[in-house]
Amino acid sequence: MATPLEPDSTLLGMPSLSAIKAFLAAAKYRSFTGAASALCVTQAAVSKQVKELET
Amino acid sequence: MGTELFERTGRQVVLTPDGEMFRDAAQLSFTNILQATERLRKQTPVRQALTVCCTPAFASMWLQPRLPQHLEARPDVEITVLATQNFLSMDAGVHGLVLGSGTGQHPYLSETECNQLYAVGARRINGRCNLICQTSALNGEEVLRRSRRAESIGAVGLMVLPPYFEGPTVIKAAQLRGFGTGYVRKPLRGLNAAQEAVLRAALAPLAP
Repeated sequence: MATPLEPDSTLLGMPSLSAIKAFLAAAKYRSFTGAASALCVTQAAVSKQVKELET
Repeated sequence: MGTELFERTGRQVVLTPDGEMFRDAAQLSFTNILQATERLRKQTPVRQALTVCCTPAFASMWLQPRLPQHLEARPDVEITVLATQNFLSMDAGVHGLVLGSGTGQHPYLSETECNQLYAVGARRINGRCNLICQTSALNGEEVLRRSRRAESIGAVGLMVLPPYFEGPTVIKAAQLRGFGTGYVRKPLRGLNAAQEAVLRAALAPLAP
Protein backbone atom coordinates (compact mmCIF):
# COMPACT_ATOMS: atom_id res chain seq x y z
CA MET A 1 0.00 0.00 0.00
CA ALA A 2 1.23 3.51 -0.75
CA THR A 3 2.42 5.83 1.98
CA PRO A 4 -0.69 6.97 3.82
CA LEU A 5 -1.54 10.67 3.79
CA GLU A 6 -3.69 10.46 6.90
CA PRO A 7 -2.85 8.90 10.23
CA ASP A 8 -4.21 5.34 10.33
CA SER A 9 -6.86 5.54 13.02
CA THR A 10 -7.42 1.78 13.15
CA LEU A 11 -3.79 1.09 13.93
CA LEU A 12 -3.51 4.07 16.22
CA GLY A 13 -6.64 3.00 18.07
CA MET A 14 -5.22 -0.41 18.94
CA PRO A 15 -3.92 -0.74 22.46
CA SER A 16 -0.18 -1.23 22.55
CA LEU A 17 1.13 -4.72 23.11
CA SER A 18 3.17 -3.64 26.08
CA ALA A 19 0.08 -2.16 27.72
CA ILE A 20 -1.77 -5.43 27.25
CA LYS A 21 1.23 -7.30 28.57
CA ALA A 22 1.17 -5.14 31.68
CA PHE A 23 -2.56 -5.68 32.03
CA LEU A 24 -2.29 -9.47 31.68
CA ALA A 25 0.53 -9.57 34.20
CA ALA A 26 -1.47 -7.50 36.70
CA ALA A 27 -4.47 -9.79 36.20
CA LYS A 28 -2.28 -12.84 36.70
CA TYR A 29 -0.45 -11.64 39.81
CA ARG A 30 -3.32 -9.58 41.16
CA SER A 31 -1.05 -6.72 41.98
CA PHE A 32 0.77 -4.01 40.08
CA THR A 33 3.89 -4.61 42.13
CA GLY A 34 3.83 -8.30 41.31
CA ALA A 35 3.23 -7.56 37.64
CA ALA A 36 6.10 -5.08 37.67
CA SER A 37 8.63 -7.53 39.03
CA ALA A 38 7.39 -10.25 36.65
CA LEU A 39 7.96 -7.93 33.71
CA CYS A 40 11.19 -6.39 35.08
CA VAL A 41 9.79 -2.86 35.02
CA THR A 42 8.78 -0.41 37.72
CA GLN A 43 5.41 -0.49 39.41
CA ALA A 44 4.74 3.01 38.09
CA ALA A 45 5.18 1.78 34.52
CA VAL A 46 2.60 -0.98 34.96
CA SER A 47 0.21 1.37 36.69
CA LYS A 48 0.57 3.95 33.93
CA GLN A 49 -0.02 1.46 31.14
CA VAL A 50 -3.11 -0.01 32.77
CA LYS A 51 -4.43 3.49 33.32
CA GLU A 52 -3.82 4.15 29.63
CA LEU A 53 -5.95 1.17 28.67
CA GLU A 54 -8.71 2.26 31.02
CA THR A 55 -8.95 5.82 29.72
CA MET B 1 -11.72 2.37 26.77
CA GLY B 2 -13.52 4.43 29.35
CA THR B 3 -13.95 1.63 31.82
CA GLU B 4 -12.16 0.36 34.91
CA LEU B 5 -10.39 -2.93 34.36
CA PHE B 6 -9.39 -3.46 37.96
CA GLU B 7 -10.83 -2.80 41.36
CA ARG B 8 -7.96 -1.49 43.39
CA THR B 9 -8.04 -2.48 47.02
CA GLY B 10 -4.79 -1.53 48.69
CA ARG B 11 -1.95 -3.56 47.23
CA GLN B 12 -4.30 -6.05 45.66
CA VAL B 13 -6.06 -5.57 42.34
CA VAL B 14 -9.05 -7.62 41.23
CA LEU B 15 -10.47 -7.72 37.72
CA THR B 16 -13.83 -6.08 37.18
CA PRO B 17 -16.32 -7.96 34.93
CA ASP B 18 -15.17 -5.74 32.04
CA GLY B 19 -11.60 -6.53 32.99
CA GLU B 20 -12.29 -10.26 32.91
CA MET B 21 -13.84 -10.05 29.47
CA PHE B 22 -10.86 -8.08 28.20
CA ARG B 23 -8.40 -10.44 29.87
CA ASP B 24 -9.95 -13.46 28.12
CA ALA B 25 -9.88 -11.74 24.73
CA ALA B 26 -6.33 -10.47 25.20
CA GLN B 27 -5.13 -13.84 26.45
CA LEU B 28 -6.58 -15.61 23.44
CA SER B 29 -5.00 -13.14 21.03
CA PHE B 30 -1.65 -13.35 22.79
CA THR B 31 -1.78 -17.13 22.66
CA ASN B 32 -2.26 -16.87 18.91
CA ILE B 33 0.61 -14.46 18.51
CA LEU B 34 2.80 -16.55 20.78
CA GLN B 35 2.08 -19.71 18.84
CA ALA B 36 2.88 -18.06 15.52
CA THR B 37 6.09 -16.69 16.99
CA GLU B 38 7.11 -20.08 18.36
CA ARG B 39 6.42 -21.70 15.05
CA LEU B 40 8.72 -19.27 13.27
CA ARG B 41 11.37 -19.35 15.97
CA LYS B 42 12.07 -23.03 15.85
CA GLN B 43 12.16 -24.19 12.32
CA THR B 44 12.56 -27.66 13.77
CA PRO B 45 9.50 -29.91 13.80
CA VAL B 46 7.02 -28.20 16.05
CA ARG B 47 5.38 -29.70 19.02
CA GLN B 48 1.81 -29.29 17.96
CA ALA B 49 -0.15 -26.79 19.96
CA LEU B 50 -3.81 -27.24 20.71
CA THR B 51 -5.76 -24.50 22.42
CA VAL B 52 -9.03 -25.54 23.98
CA CYS B 53 -11.41 -22.74 24.80
CA CYS B 54 -14.19 -23.86 27.14
CA THR B 55 -16.12 -22.97 30.26
CA PRO B 56 -14.44 -23.39 33.62
CA ALA B 57 -17.05 -26.05 34.47
CA PHE B 58 -16.23 -28.06 31.36
CA ALA B 59 -12.52 -27.66 32.00
CA SER B 60 -12.69 -28.95 35.53
CA MET B 61 -15.44 -31.56 35.23
CA TRP B 62 -14.81 -33.05 31.81
CA LEU B 63 -11.44 -32.05 30.51
CA GLN B 64 -9.21 -32.18 33.53
CA PRO B 65 -9.81 -35.84 34.45
CA ARG B 66 -9.05 -36.82 30.87
CA LEU B 67 -5.96 -34.68 30.37
CA PRO B 68 -3.31 -36.88 32.03
CA GLN B 69 -4.24 -39.84 29.87
CA HIS B 70 -4.16 -37.71 26.76
CA LEU B 71 -0.83 -36.12 27.62
CA GLU B 72 0.62 -39.58 28.08
CA ALA B 73 -0.79 -40.85 24.81
CA ARG B 74 0.19 -37.77 22.79
CA PRO B 75 3.24 -36.15 24.35
CA ASP B 76 3.81 -34.35 21.04
CA VAL B 77 0.71 -32.22 21.52
CA GLU B 78 0.92 -29.26 23.79
CA ILE B 79 -2.45 -28.32 25.21
CA THR B 80 -3.40 -24.87 26.41
CA VAL B 81 -6.72 -24.72 28.18
CA LEU B 82 -8.42 -21.37 28.17
CA ALA B 83 -11.29 -21.50 30.61
CA THR B 84 -13.64 -18.60 30.15
CA GLN B 85 -17.27 -17.71 30.63
CA ASN B 86 -17.05 -14.99 28.07
CA PHE B 87 -16.79 -16.74 24.75
CA LEU B 88 -20.54 -16.59 24.66
CA SER B 89 -20.64 -12.83 24.98
CA MET B 90 -22.20 -12.73 21.57
CA ASP B 91 -21.51 -10.06 19.04
CA ALA B 92 -24.31 -8.62 16.99
CA GLY B 93 -25.10 -10.88 14.09
CA VAL B 94 -24.86 -14.22 15.85
CA HIS B 95 -28.14 -15.91 14.95
CA GLY B 96 -27.70 -19.12 16.77
CA LEU B 97 -25.46 -21.72 18.28
CA VAL B 98 -25.29 -25.47 17.88
CA LEU B 99 -24.69 -27.50 21.00
CA GLY B 100 -22.51 -30.47 20.15
CA SER B 101 -20.52 -30.88 16.98
CA GLY B 102 -21.31 -33.25 14.15
CA THR B 103 -18.89 -35.80 12.79
CA GLY B 104 -16.90 -36.27 15.92
CA GLN B 105 -17.45 -36.65 19.55
CA HIS B 106 -21.13 -36.01 20.04
CA PRO B 107 -22.49 -39.53 19.48
CA TYR B 108 -19.84 -40.78 21.88
CA LEU B 109 -20.93 -38.59 24.74
CA SER B 110 -22.86 -40.63 27.26
CA GLU B 111 -26.49 -39.65 27.56
CA THR B 112 -25.73 -38.02 30.92
CA GLU B 113 -22.90 -35.97 29.41
CA CYS B 114 -25.14 -35.00 26.51
CA ASN B 115 -27.87 -33.85 28.88
CA GLN B 116 -25.33 -31.86 30.87
CA LEU B 117 -24.14 -30.21 27.67
CA TYR B 118 -27.69 -29.17 26.80
CA ALA B 119 -28.37 -27.91 30.30
CA VAL B 120 -25.19 -25.85 30.56
CA GLY B 121 -25.52 -24.57 26.99
CA ALA B 122 -29.14 -23.50 27.35
CA ARG B 123 -28.34 -21.73 30.61
CA ARG B 124 -25.42 -19.86 29.07
CA ILE B 125 -27.28 -18.89 25.90
CA ASN B 126 -30.23 -17.88 28.01
CA GLY B 127 -32.54 -17.11 25.09
CA ARG B 128 -30.14 -14.65 23.46
CA CYS B 129 -30.09 -16.50 20.15
CA ASN B 130 -31.49 -19.57 18.45
CA LEU B 131 -30.49 -22.85 19.93
CA ILE B 132 -29.92 -25.92 17.78
CA CYS B 133 -28.96 -29.26 19.25
CA GLN B 134 -26.90 -32.04 17.85
CA THR B 135 -28.86 -35.10 18.98
CA SER B 136 -26.96 -37.87 17.25
CA ALA B 137 -26.37 -41.08 19.13
CA LEU B 138 -25.35 -44.60 18.26
CA ASN B 139 -28.88 -45.97 18.34
CA GLY B 140 -32.21 -44.62 17.21
CA GLU B 141 -33.98 -44.82 20.57
CA GLU B 142 -31.34 -42.66 22.15
CA VAL B 143 -31.58 -40.16 19.29
CA LEU B 144 -35.27 -39.82 20.08
CA ARG B 145 -34.59 -39.35 23.77
CA ARG B 146 -31.88 -36.76 23.08
CA SER B 147 -34.20 -34.99 20.64
CA ARG B 148 -36.98 -34.80 23.18
CA ARG B 149 -34.53 -33.46 25.71
CA ALA B 150 -33.34 -30.87 23.20
CA GLU B 151 -36.89 -29.80 22.57
CA SER B 152 -37.55 -29.49 26.29
CA ILE B 153 -34.68 -27.03 26.70
CA GLY B 154 -36.02 -24.85 23.87
CA ALA B 155 -34.12 -26.04 20.79
CA VAL B 156 -35.56 -24.67 17.56
CA GLY B 157 -33.83 -27.26 15.42
CA LEU B 158 -31.97 -30.56 15.51
CA MET B 159 -28.93 -31.93 13.80
CA VAL B 160 -29.05 -35.70 13.46
CA LEU B 161 -26.58 -38.03 11.84
CA PRO B 162 -27.79 -41.56 11.15
CA PRO B 163 -26.33 -44.22 13.42
CA TYR B 164 -23.28 -45.92 11.95
CA PHE B 165 -22.36 -42.70 10.26
CA GLU B 166 -19.61 -42.89 12.80
CA GLY B 167 -17.07 -45.45 11.70
CA PRO B 168 -19.11 -47.17 8.99
CA THR B 169 -17.84 -50.26 7.23
CA VAL B 170 -17.65 -50.10 3.44
CA ILE B 171 -21.08 -51.69 3.06
CA LYS B 172 -22.60 -49.42 5.66
CA ALA B 173 -20.93 -46.46 4.00
CA ALA B 174 -22.64 -47.41 0.74
CA GLN B 175 -25.97 -47.65 2.53
CA LEU B 176 -25.42 -44.22 3.88
CA ARG B 177 -25.63 -42.59 0.47
CA GLY B 178 -28.48 -40.20 0.49
CA PHE B 179 -28.59 -40.17 4.26
CA GLY B 180 -26.29 -37.28 4.99
CA THR B 181 -26.99 -34.95 7.79
CA GLY B 182 -30.62 -34.48 8.68
CA TYR B 183 -31.52 -31.02 9.78
CA VAL B 184 -34.99 -30.20 11.00
CA ARG B 185 -35.42 -26.61 9.94
CA LYS B 186 -38.83 -25.85 11.31
CA PRO B 187 -39.20 -25.03 14.96
CA LEU B 188 -40.16 -28.10 16.89
CA ARG B 189 -43.55 -27.92 18.49
CA GLY B 190 -43.25 -31.15 20.35
CA LEU B 191 -41.87 -34.17 18.59
CA ASN B 192 -45.27 -35.40 17.41
CA ALA B 193 -46.05 -38.84 16.09
CA ALA B 194 -45.51 -37.77 12.48
CA GLN B 195 -42.13 -36.25 13.14
CA GLU B 196 -41.12 -39.23 15.18
CA ALA B 197 -42.17 -41.47 12.30
CA VAL B 198 -40.04 -39.44 9.89
CA LEU B 199 -37.08 -39.74 12.18
CA ARG B 200 -37.65 -43.48 12.59
CA ALA B 201 -38.02 -43.96 8.86
CA ALA B 202 -34.78 -42.14 8.24
CA LEU B 203 -33.03 -44.33 10.76
CA ALA B 204 -34.67 -47.67 9.94
CA PRO B 205 -32.60 -48.72 6.89
CA LEU B 206 -29.50 -48.31 8.96
CA ALA B 207 -30.52 -50.48 11.87
CA PRO B 208 -28.19 -53.42 12.43
